[in-house]
Amino acid sequence: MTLLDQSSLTNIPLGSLDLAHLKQLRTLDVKLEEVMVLSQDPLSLYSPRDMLTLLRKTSAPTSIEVLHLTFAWEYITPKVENPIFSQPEWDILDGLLNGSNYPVLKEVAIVFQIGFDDYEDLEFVSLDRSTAALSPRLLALFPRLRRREGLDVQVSIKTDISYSM
Amino acid sequence: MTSWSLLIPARRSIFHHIRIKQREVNYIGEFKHFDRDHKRLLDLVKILENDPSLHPHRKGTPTLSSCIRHLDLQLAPAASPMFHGNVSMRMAAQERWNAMNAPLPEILNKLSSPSHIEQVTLYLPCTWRQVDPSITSSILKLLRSPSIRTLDLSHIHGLPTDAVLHCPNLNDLRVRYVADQESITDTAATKELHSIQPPPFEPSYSPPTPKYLTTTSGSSFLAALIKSPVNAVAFNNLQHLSFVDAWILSFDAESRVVETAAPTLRFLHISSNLNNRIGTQLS
Repeated sequence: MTLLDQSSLTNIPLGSLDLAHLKQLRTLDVKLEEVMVLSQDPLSLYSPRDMLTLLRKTSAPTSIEVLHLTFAWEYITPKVENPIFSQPEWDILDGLLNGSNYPVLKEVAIVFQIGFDDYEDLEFVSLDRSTAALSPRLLALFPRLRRREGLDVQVSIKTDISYSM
Repeated sequence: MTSWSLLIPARRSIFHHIRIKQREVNYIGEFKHFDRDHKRLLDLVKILENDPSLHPHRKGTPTLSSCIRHLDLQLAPAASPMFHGNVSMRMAAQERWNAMNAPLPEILNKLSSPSHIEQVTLYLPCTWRQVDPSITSSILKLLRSPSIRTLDLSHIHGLPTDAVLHCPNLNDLRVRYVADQESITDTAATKELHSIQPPPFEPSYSPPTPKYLTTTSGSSFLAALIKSPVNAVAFNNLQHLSFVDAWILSFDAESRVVETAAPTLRFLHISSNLNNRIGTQLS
């Protein structure tokens, strides 16, 4: 039994994407968005398991050169920054992207898009500090991709702060 | 003194993108800016009528309407969400909306004959069949212009597929929160409002073959486009496809578009809100 099989989220029917016949496809851009609530278990934050499930069930054409993956969350606290690095799913994702499914990859862009509301005790200083501290550590999540020759790997964080007046 | 030679480039620059942006209706259903928005439409009619280039002495100078390349209509919603279920209040609000936008057909007709518009953005948060037929007809007439390359349609409830099917040179189709006519649940109230239909148009000769398609929660409209018996949009030329806020696997329409576009598709974007999907599953 794999880690993914243990995930409660795998009970959600993500289905399967058969894209293998799209022989001209060069760019695949997937964005999964989730709205979190502050009371939710912080361990569930920053998990790539849904993306992993989708990519594992996707029959991608070998022609894909550019892969954009966006993990978007809204309304999460910026103070949660530890669980992301302890989850083995990131390692599996790194291996999957580096495997035979994408033999001609030239560019991988992984974006963590985090939307903050202005409620709670959000301080902009702590937000800046959090995102700045996260950037290099997020890059470290994909060691095999970074080592691959001729592959441009970009991992970035985008923050979006909304104000309710 | 201003040189006449500057007129043409200045006009082309100033009127390249025309936006009509109306204010939102407030929660009790009042059009707070009814008079202002109505007057702005009348002013635009006057501007188009009094265009100096229409004067015989100015023959050869491009008319103002011919300088417009992007028409951006951001219209007010017809009714407040508070009116949901209250037929009489909704009908009254729709009548006020129709009155406010009464000059629209004249504007659109002037821009349609002949049209040089390459892009139309239409935000129409109303039920299509409740909009005055003179307005809907003028919109459909405009959308048949061969000059149109980009169509950006959003928040239209019950849009007929005619709006897209007869746009022969369409290159980029963007559909956001648009439901087709068949997906509307008819109630006695809406049937009363739907009693007047816009006149039918002659079919065009060739179906549009866009290269770019973006849909946001537009599955029903997409499905209607695919199954349309006459002049269905040909998606076999698509190169760039974006499904925003749609779960591609759940909807046959999206899958069929992907299948059709397989020989030419180079870019595929899929965006999904997991919370919406979970909610749908549980409901």
